[in-house]
Amino acid sequence: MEISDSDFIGLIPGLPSELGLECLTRLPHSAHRVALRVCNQWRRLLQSDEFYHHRKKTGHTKKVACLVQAHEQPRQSEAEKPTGSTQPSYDITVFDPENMSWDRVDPVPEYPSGLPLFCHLASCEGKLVVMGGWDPSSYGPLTAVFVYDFRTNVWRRGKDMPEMRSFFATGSGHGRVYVAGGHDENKNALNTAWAYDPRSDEWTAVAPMSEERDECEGVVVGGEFWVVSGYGTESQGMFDGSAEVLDIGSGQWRKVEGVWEAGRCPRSCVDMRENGRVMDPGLRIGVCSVRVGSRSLVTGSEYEGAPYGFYLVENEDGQKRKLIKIRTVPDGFSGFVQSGCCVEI
Amino acid sequence: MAAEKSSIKIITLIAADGSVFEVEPNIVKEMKTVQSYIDELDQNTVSIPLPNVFGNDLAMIIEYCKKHASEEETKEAKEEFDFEFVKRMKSDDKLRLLQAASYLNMESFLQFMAKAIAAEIENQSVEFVRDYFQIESDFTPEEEAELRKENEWAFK
Repeated sequence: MEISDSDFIGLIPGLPSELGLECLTRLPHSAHRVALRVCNQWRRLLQSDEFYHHRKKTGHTKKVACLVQAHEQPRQSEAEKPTGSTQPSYDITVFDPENMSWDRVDPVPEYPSGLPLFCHLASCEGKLVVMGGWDPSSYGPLTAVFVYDFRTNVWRRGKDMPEMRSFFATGSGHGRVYVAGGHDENKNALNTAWAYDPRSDEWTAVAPMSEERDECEGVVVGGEFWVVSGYGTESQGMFDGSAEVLDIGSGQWRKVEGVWEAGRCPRSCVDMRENGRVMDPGLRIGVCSVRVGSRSLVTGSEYEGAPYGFYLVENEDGQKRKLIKIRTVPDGFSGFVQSGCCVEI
Repeated sequence: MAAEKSSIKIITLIAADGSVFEVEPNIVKEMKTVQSYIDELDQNTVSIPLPNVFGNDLAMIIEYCKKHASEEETKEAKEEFDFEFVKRMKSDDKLRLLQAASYLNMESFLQFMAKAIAAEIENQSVEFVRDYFQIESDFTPEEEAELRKENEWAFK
């Protein structure tokens, strides 16, 4: 889709519309919040799919990591804290590896004091999709879907997932978000898969995988949705070494053996090269790895009891991967990261 | 063709206000509009009228081109120059230079100016942006109130 000149005449008074567009295309995402309020024409432009694609095509979008991160308790309340452990509340953090900046997305209006526990993230065309998880107060599993649009900075409720599903794999491609595996409300492992289109707000069924995969992990590599490891209902916790791979274009699954260390939980820590080799982030405890363009943000500890850290890893082929510690994590952003995904905004 | 072009020693550019600039051929390489003139005219000296560009603006553009065409300058020196170049410009200059860049069909200078204009309104208020571009709000008072509220939520 192209932006036609007739739609936006005189974005900037006195400038031909293509020059006005040149200027607005270069506005960084952080300035969109203000630009949206200038006039109707700017607002319509900034919210349009065409403008997003134009920015993307001309290299003016950027990739950031969205993280489900535990909110640290304010320090002064430490003394008054009741004894016993309280479940931390989770928010969405936005990390920009280019500027090394950290920010937080407004809470989901239905969950003002913390996201559903173990909710899943995926992204699609500048939108962040939050799916499922457990209600933070009742621990009841949810099918709820929330979509955050980085063009408008507004949350909306999406259509619920068609099946109850916890601890599943997510990925996205071709303008759709994919979910596969996990378990239902009776702890039965699932082999089913669905695709969600945030634009039409519709779920469509995808062919099922050949095996049930509870607690599997999803990653998208070059037009393929990899659902790594997981276990069947009968083999509780015995993580499998195989993966099932969905060709997003054709909707066909194939199975690949021996891609994962059997017995190890893959949650949030599968990172993959173009050649299909699974990478080990090099940390052992509480690991979460989010690929952001040519880099990955990796969080976790080197061993049990070691300090929790944030690292950047360059993913260039042929180089030995090295973890570079991020030394300046601002206050409020050093909490545990449960999962994350990359969003192009 | 190459031989003909290299025989041109000096190019004379005449701005809208009649001011005259004599430059070497490598300086105008990026000005596609000027370049097409040169390609059409088969002579040793060329003088090109630019009725859409004022002398002050043309002087700045030539200064920019000279710096960027130089092979002796380091990348850092050019970046430093760009930074200072934008800093001493007034807001109106930027909009005019963007238009001049468009008229002269200067790809990278146009990109440079568009970026400078975008930077001008980054981190500014809605009122500043409207004032800068002389845009009048066409939101109803109700919509304005709604938008303000949206923004309050956004800033925790």
